[in-house]
Amino acid sequence: MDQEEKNRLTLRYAELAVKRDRTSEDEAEMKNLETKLQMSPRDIINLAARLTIPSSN
Amino acid sequence: MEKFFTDPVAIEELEKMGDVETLAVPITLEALRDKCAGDSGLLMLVDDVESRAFRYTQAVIETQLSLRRGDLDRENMSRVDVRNRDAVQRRAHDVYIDSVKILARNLARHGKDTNWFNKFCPDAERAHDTYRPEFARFGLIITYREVLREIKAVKAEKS
Repeated sequence: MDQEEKNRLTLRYAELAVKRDRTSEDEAEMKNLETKLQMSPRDIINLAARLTIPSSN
Repeated sequence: MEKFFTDPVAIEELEKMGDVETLAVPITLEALRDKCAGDSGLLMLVDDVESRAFRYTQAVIETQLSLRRGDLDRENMSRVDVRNRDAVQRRAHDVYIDSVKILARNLARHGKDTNWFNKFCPDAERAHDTYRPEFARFGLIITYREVLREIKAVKAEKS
């Protein structure tokens, strides 16, 4: 998997993680993304933060 | 629009700063709730900040995903479409910033410390709107921290 695909899947995971009304399908997709990315939820959220938090300078 | 970490060099910069739980913020949600303890009206305003920060984060993620999926091709989109797309994120940002300002104003009215708010806007002469990136960082960081807290809670429940 190239970095761009990894970033895209990470953002999709984050999109689901910040949903307040997650369905069981959403939860299943998140599990599937964790497997695809081979990363822990914590690492995925940290990568999502890196992709979205604006630079402070 | 804010400048986002989208290129590998910038991502490395943020990696050096540590993970989202160690990034500096003017105040945490927990500390805000502590300040408002015992006042349900103020606590509701903290809840507003949290839910609006979540909505703003969703809008940022949607924009970033659209850019990566290629369905937000700014070069070839009409100016109206670009403006409409940006407006969704901008409105979510405005509503979230307003919720932070309303909370700070009400805390001040109740004689509570608002030094944390001055850290967002250290130069009183500058309009608050010029500090949009600082507000953006805060909103995104508190949202991701909440998500991580939820993840930890679910893990603890399972173990």
